[in-house]
Amino acid sequence: MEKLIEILNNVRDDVDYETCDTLIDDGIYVSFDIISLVAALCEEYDVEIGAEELIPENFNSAKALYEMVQRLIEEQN
Amino acid sequence: MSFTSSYFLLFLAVLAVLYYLPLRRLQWQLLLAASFFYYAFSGIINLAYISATIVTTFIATLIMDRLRTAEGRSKKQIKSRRRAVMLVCLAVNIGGLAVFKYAPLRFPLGISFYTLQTMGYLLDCYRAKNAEFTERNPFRLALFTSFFPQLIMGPISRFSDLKKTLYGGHRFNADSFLDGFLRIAFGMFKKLVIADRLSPVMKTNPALAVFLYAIVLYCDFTGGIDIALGVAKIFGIELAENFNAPFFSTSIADYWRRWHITMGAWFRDYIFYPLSISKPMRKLTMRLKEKAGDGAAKRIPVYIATIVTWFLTGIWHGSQWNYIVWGLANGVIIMLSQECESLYKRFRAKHERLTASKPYAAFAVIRTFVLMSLLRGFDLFSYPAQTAKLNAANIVIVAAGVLLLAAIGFWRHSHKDAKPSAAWRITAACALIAAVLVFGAYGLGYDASGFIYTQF
Repeated sequence: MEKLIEILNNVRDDVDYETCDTLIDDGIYVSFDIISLVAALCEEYDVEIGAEELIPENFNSAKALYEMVQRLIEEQN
Repeated sequence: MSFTSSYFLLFLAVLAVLYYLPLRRLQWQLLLAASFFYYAFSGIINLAYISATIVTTFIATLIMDRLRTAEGRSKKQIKSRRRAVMLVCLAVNIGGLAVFKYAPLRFPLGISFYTLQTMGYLLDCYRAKNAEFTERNPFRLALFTSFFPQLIMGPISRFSDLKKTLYGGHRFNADSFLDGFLRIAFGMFKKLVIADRLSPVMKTNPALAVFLYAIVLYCDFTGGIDIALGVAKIFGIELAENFNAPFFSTSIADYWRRWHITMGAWFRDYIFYPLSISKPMRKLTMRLKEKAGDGAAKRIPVYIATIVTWFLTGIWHGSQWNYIVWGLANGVIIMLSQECESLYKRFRAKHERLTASKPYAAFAVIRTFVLMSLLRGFDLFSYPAQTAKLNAANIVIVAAGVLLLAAIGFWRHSHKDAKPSAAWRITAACALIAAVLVFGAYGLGYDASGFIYTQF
């Protein structure tokens, strides 16, 4: 989780990722942030994130992102 | 059979009676038969083209599902085989669309819309986590592809949304019926009283042409979509909204979130995002991060995807150069305004009171309207020259109609969730129908049959 927060801070450092659970719903993350986050996650965790994963439920909070990444690691290895 | 013809209204009335009375247990089957009957009026051969799309998509999605459980193959092999099936089906259908768009052949009505919708379904099946998503009944898939209210100009539906209400089990609901009826009346008013009256003269005055065209296109397209949504509503079926007060937009990007929403969503979900997060793009992002810094790494891949998406949006509208230039111009303006975002931010911070004021908001809306109208000049370019003029009475009718639309627009803007009482809605529907009958432009010299968006 710490590593994920670090990646998120690299994408945008003006968000409190411990508490925010509306990254997409409140328009905090725009397309630029989402795309650069996906590139960083794929690189760091060596997973493929397909377009089908780009739904608000997966990207609204650090926790949701963490769960998605864990699931993808499990599915793809 | 145009939405505004008396045959269509008769067709609807007969269908509604059958749907809620003798054939209420066979509602979706009836809608499928009605959709094919309706489409046959545009040319029997068109039924063959749409059937080809249905059959190829149905077979491809079934094969993709079978492959999920193929024995003796690795996950990687299964994935690449499923992708190959998806790509073949995509190539056949998009290739077919391209042939009709660019070869000198008779263009099948609605092919651009139903192809996008069905290919969206194909991609959703490919992306789905399990086999449950796939429709196993070819006739139900046929209804999704051919549902007549949305067949010729959208909205472009997603299967996961439309299937909730498309497949029957509806009891007659007077409130829903009234909503549908009012929506149809409003659409007819926009199309027949304003768009059809104004379209034969919109190019006469070059200084005003782009603004008159903005009004014509708005009334024509939103009118047609109002009728589509209203017709579906009469049968208890919810189609996606395609517009959200587009003339209240404060920027081009905002406009494209409010105008032709379902097409924008299609290109966003099936072109822009998949392209932006594709392997080569991710590699580019990481390389730029090392060599050119975070700013470039964030922006350049998005800009490449933006330009490709808008280029494809342009050629989807038509093969002529003006559509491609129009698409690219939209993409470039969105990129430029994104590049200027930090300037805007500084300006807003420095002049907080000014930028939060109502006159500034009005300025942003008018600026966007003017810019969008000028961009549509590329579109208007392909219309033949006009010399006809409106007489004073017709100018008054158009002006009154536009003022009425503006008043309704402002009212909706400030009363977002309000629903007028049944008595109000009945009165409004009757008044709109009366206005269509008295002021509808279906005299000599008017072509009340064609909706602009059916040509795309």
